[in-house]
Amino acid sequence: MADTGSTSSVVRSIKSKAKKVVADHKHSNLILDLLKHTQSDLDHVVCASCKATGKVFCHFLSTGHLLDTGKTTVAEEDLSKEDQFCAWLKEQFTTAWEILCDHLTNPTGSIAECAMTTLVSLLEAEGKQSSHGFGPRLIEGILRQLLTSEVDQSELIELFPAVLLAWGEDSSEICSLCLAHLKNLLKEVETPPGDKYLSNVWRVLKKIASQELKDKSRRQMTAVVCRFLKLQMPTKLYREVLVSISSIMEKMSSPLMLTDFLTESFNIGGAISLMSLQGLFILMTQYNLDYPDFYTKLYSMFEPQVFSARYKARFFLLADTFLTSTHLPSYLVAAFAKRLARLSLHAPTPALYISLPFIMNLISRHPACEVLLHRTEGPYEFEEDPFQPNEPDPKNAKALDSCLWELQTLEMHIDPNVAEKAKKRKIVETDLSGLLETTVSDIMESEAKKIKKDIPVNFERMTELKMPSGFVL
Amino acid sequence: MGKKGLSDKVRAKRKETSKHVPNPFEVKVNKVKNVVVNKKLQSWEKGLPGISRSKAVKKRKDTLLRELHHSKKSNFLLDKRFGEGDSSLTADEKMVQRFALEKKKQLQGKDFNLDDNEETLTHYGQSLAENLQDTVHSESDDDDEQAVKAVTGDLQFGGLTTNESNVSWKDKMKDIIADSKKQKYERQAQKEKVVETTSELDTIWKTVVPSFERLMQRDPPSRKPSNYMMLFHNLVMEQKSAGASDKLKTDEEKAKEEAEKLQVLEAQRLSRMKGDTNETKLKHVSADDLNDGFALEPQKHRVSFSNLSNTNEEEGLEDEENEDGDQDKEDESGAEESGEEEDEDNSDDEDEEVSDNFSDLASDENEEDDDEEHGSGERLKGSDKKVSSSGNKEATIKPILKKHETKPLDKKISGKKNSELPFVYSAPGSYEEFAALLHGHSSEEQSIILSRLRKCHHPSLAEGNKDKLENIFKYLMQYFGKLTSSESIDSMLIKSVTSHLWEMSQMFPAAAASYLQEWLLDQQKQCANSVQHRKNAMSTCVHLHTMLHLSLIEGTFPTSDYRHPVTTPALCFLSQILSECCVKSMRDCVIGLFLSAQAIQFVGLSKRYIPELVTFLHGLLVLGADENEASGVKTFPPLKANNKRHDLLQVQNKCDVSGEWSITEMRLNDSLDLETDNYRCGAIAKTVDILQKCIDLWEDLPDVAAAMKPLKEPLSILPVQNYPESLKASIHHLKMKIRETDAKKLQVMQLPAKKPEPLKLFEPKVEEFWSGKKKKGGPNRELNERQRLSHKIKREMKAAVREIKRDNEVLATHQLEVITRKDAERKRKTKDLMNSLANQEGDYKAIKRAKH
Repeated sequence: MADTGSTSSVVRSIKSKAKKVVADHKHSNLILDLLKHTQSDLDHVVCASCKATGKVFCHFLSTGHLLDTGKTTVAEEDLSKEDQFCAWLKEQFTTAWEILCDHLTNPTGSIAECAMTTLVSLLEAEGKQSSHGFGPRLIEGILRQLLTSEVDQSELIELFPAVLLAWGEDSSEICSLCLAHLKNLLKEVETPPGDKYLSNVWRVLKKIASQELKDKSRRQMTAVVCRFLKLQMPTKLYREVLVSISSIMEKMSSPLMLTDFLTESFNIGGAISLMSLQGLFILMTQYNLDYPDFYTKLYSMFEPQVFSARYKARFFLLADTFLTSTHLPSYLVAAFAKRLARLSLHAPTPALYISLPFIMNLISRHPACEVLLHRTEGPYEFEEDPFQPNEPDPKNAKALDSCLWELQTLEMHIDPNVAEKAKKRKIVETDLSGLLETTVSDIMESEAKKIKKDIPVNFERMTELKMPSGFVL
Repeated sequence: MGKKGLSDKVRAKRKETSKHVPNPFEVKVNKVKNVVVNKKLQSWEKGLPGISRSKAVKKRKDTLLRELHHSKKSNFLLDKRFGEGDSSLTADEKMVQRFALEKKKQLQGKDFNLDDNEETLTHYGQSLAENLQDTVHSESDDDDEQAVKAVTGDLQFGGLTTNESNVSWKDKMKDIIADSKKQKYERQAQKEKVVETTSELDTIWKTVVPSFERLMQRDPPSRKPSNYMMLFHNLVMEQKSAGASDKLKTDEEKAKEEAEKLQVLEAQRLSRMKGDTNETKLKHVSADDLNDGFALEPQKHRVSFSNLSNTNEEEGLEDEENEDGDQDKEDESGAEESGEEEDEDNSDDEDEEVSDNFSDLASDENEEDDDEEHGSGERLKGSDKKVSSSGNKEATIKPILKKHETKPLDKKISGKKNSELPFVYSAPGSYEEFAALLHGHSSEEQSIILSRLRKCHHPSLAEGNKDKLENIFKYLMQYFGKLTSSESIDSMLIKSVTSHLWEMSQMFPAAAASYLQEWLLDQQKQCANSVQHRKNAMSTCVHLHTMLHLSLIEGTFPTSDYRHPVTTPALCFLSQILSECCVKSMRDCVIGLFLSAQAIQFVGLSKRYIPELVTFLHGLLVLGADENEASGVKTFPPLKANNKRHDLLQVQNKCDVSGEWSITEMRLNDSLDLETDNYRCGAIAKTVDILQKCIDLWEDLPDVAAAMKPLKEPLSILPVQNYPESLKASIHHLKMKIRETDAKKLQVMQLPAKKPEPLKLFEPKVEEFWSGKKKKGGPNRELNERQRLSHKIKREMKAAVREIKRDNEVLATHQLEVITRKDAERKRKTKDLMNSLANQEGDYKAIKRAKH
C-alpha cells in the first residue's frame, strides 16, 4: 500500500513539474527530472513521465524554441542566452524521443502504447510548424523500433495509422517518408531475418497501403514489396501475405511485378496455390496477365483435399468466378463439372451444399454442357463411363461424352437437402456466397427444426440397445 | 346495454307508427324509372320535403336566430327552477321534487310550531280521503285482487302522466324471465319425481324377478305362453343382456388384425422413406386440371404412431399375459403373498388376469396396511381378493391400464426383494430426486421401481399425471445419459432402462425427440470444437455414451425416413465424425468401425448413400496396406499421404480373426492392449465386412462403380499372406463384387420430358350463396376501408356545405325581414308625418283663408 501511495505521489509531482515548466521557462531544469523518471522501474511513473515530457516538448515545439536554426557549428560563447537555452532544449528533446523510441520495445504493453501516443503527439506538434526538422528522424526512430525482430509489435502497429495521419489528413508525405525508410531498413537486412521482424514489416506495409498513396509513393511501394517478397518467409506469414496481397496490389505502381511471386506460389500446390489464386485472378482480369496453363492448373487443384481445406470457401468462390466466362470452351467446363461431380461422390456433406449448385452454375452458363444431364444422341447405354478421371488435361478427359451419373447416385444421399438438389437438377444459376460457410451444425440445427408435430417413432419394440453386427455391449 | 335487441326495435317501430300517420298531401314520391318488386325505396325516393324543410327552418330559428339575438347581449336570463335543465327527470318526478322542496321551505323556521294542521292530500284539487273512501267501498266485492289494484291504482293514483305504457320495459322483461324460470323449475321437479318413481319401481321389479324365475322353471313348457308372459320374458332377457360387451376375438382374428396394423405402419414408413416428393408425383391428375394449384381437398399426411402403437402394444401383450399371468401377479400384485397361496391364485387365475395390473394399483392405496399385515397371509389374501373383484368390475372401464405390462423379471430374485420396495412413489420433482430414488438399488429393483413409478402416474389416473410422467421420462433420459457415461457399464440396467425408454417414447415422442436433438447438437458442438483445435483424434470427441445414444436413437426413431427431426441430424453427426476425425490409434479405429457399422444399420432399410463411410473405410484399408506400396495411394482427408502411423493396421505376422468385439471393454478398459496383430486383423475383417454390406446396399445406384473405384487400389495391396483363410476369402469376394459393379451398364441421362400444359378452360364464376347484391370492392380490405372512408368524407363535406348555405339563407332572410320591417315602419311614420303636416298646412291655409 505504501508503495502505491508513493508511486501516486511521484506521479502527482511529475504532473505538477510538467505544469510548472509549461507555465514558466525558468523551471526548465525540471525537464531533467522528468527524463530521469522515464527510466524508472515503476510502470505508472514511466507512463506519467512519458506523458509529461510529451506535454512539455509539445509546448516548446509550439512556442518555436525547438526550431532548427541551422547554426549548429557556432561556438558556444558566441551564442546569446536565449540561443543557448534553445540548443540545450534541443539536446534534451533528442534524448527524450530517443528514450521514448526505446520504450516502444518495452515488454509492458501499456508503456509501449503510452510512448507511442506521446510520439504521435510530438509528431503532430511538429507537423504544425512550417519546417519539419525532427520529423524524418522521429519517423525513422519509430519505424526502427516497430520493425524489431525481437518483439511482436502487432498491437503497436494497430496504432501506426495515427503516425501516418499525424501531419493532417494528407498522409502522402509521411507515407513516402516511411516507405523510404522501409526500403533502407530492408536493404540493411542481410542474414535470414526473424519471423517476427517479417510479420512486423508486413503489417506496417498493410497499414501504409490502407492510406491514399501518390505516384511517387506507389513506386516506392512497388520497390519495397518486391524487396520484401524476395525474403524467406515462414508458411504462416506466407499464407497471410497471399490472403492480403490484393489490397496491397492496388497501391502498387506496377502490380505485374508480383507475377513471379504469385506463379511461384501457384506452382507450390496445396493450400498455398489455392490462396495465390486471388492475386493471379486480379492480375489476369485487371492487368492483362497472360497465364497459359491456368485452367489446367486449376483443374488439377480439384482434389478431395479441397473440401477439407481451410480456405475452401474462398477457393470455390474464386473458381466460380474463373469459370463464369461464357467464352470458355465447353469441353473445359464439362470436364470441371464432371470432375467436381466425381469428387462429390466422396465429399463430406457440407461440401455437397457447395458442389451441387456449383455444377449447376457451370451447366447453366454453358448450355452446350447440358448434354451432361440430357443426352438425346448417341447410344442409349454405356459399357463404362467414358470420362477419364486421372487425365491431367481437361482437353482429353472426354467429359462431354459422359453424363453426370454421380448426381443420380447422390439422389440417395443421406442428407435430404442434398438428395433433393441432386434429384431436381434445376439448371439455374445460384449465388454461392450464401452456401459457402455451411457447416454440419447449421445443417443439423435446420434439420432439427423441420418437423415439430407428429414425430414418427419406431413401432418395432426395442428391448435392448441394438449393437451393430460384430460388436457387443 | 349498448346493443339494441330485436324487441327494442319492434317496440320503437310500433311507437313510431302509432304516433302519427303522415298527411298524404305532404308526401312526395320521386318518379322511379323501373319499378322493382319488393325493393325498398331509398331515402331520396320518397319523403316529406315540406315538413322536413319547415322543421329545419324552425330549428334554425330556435337556435341560430336566438344566437344572433343574443350575440350582442351581455347578460341573459337563467332558469333556476329545480330540474329544469335535467332531461333525466320526468315531468312527474320534477313536480314531486319541487313540491318537496316547497314543503321544506315552508317548514323551515317552524320548528316550534305546535299546530298540527295536517296537510290534506288532494288529487286534482279534490280531497283524496273522500275520494278513496268512495271507490274502495264500491268495488270491495271483486275477486281478482290484481284487477282491483290495477283499477284502484288507475282510478285513485293514476292521475298524473304515468300510464301503463310508461312502466319500464326492463321491469316487464324481468317479470317474464322470472315467470319462465319458475315454470322451468317446476317442470324439472316433475321430471325428477317421475325418474324417482320409475327407479323405485325398478328395484321392486328386481326383487320380484327371482321369485318369478323359480316359478318359470316349475312351469311346464307345454302351456302356450300368454301375451303377458311373452312380455315378461322379454323383460327378463333384456335385463340379463344389459351389460353385454363386444364379442371376444379369436386368436386368428387378433393375429390378422395385428398383421394388418403392421402392414399399415410399414406402408407409412415406406412412404416417409421415399420422402414427400414421391407422393406428390404419384397423385392423380385430372385431365381437366387447370394446373392452377387448385385442389378439392388438400392431402394430409399425418402419421401418428403413438395411438396405433399403443394399441398394438396392448394386443401384442395379451399373448404374453396368458403365459406370464402367474409371474406377473407375483411380481406385482402378489408380491407380498407367500408361496403357499400360489395354488389358490391359480384357481382364480382368470379373475386375476383381467384385473392384474389394477389390483396392484388398488393395493397400492392400502400400502401401509399391507406392510403392517405382512405376516398374516389369511387377511392379506382376503383383502387381495376383494381388491381383485373390485378390479374385475372396473377392468372394463379402464382397459388402458392393461397395456403397461413390463417384461416379467427373474422370478426368484424379484420374489425376494420386491417385498422391500414401496408400491407408491410420488413423482420426483427434479433429476436429483429421481436419481436418489433409484440410487442403491440393483438393476432389477430399479426396473421395478421404474415400472411402478410409471403405473402410479399413468395419465388416466389423474389430471396432471401426463406432465409428471413426461418429466419422469426426461429424468429417465438423463439417467440413461449418466449410466452410459459412467465408468462401469451395467448392461442389464441399461437394457431395462432402454425398454422403459422405448415404451415411454411411444407416449411422448416430442419429448424424446427434443431431448435427443439437444443432446445431438451439444455433442456436435463439442466435436466441432475439438476438430477446430486440431485434436481431432476420434477418441477425443466420441465417447461410449455417444455411441450408445446413437444406438438409442436408432432404436427409438425410424432411421429410414427421408427426413426426420432426430435421425437425420444423427446421421449427419455420424457422417461428420467419420469424415473429420483422424484415426490415430487402435482405439480410434474401434470407434470408427463401430460408428461405420452403426451408419450401415441406419441406412439398412432406406439404402441411402453415405460418402463419408466409403472414404473412412478406404482410409482404414490404406492404413492396413503394405507401407511401401501404400505411399502411392491417393487418400481422402483427414488421412494424409504422409501419415506418421501408416502401419497402424498393418499385420506383421500370421494371425487370427477374433470374434465379436465388446465395445464397453475396449472403450473403458485401459489395460487391454489393442495394438496386437489379432485386433488389427479383426479390424481389417470388419472393414471388409462393412464394405461388403455397403456394396450390397448400394448395388442399385447407377454409379456405384465410380463410388467404389478408389477401394480397388488399397484392397489389392493388403498383406494377404498374413491373413486367415476366412478373411482372404471375404476380401476376394469383395473384389469380385466391385468388379461386378464395374460391369454394370450405364444408361444415358435424360431430363424428364415436360408434360404438355392443358388448355385453360374458363368457367363462369358461380357464387354459391348470392346475397342479391354485387359485392363491392376487391379483396384488399385496407383499400376497401379507405375508399369507404373517403366516400364518407365527401358526403359529409357536401352535407356540411349545404347546411351552412341554409344557415346563411335563414340569416339573410331574417336580416331582410328586419330591414323591410324597419323600412315599412319608416315609411309609415313619414306618411303619418306628411299627413299631419298636410293637415297642418291645410288647417293653416284654412285659417288664412278664414282671416281673409
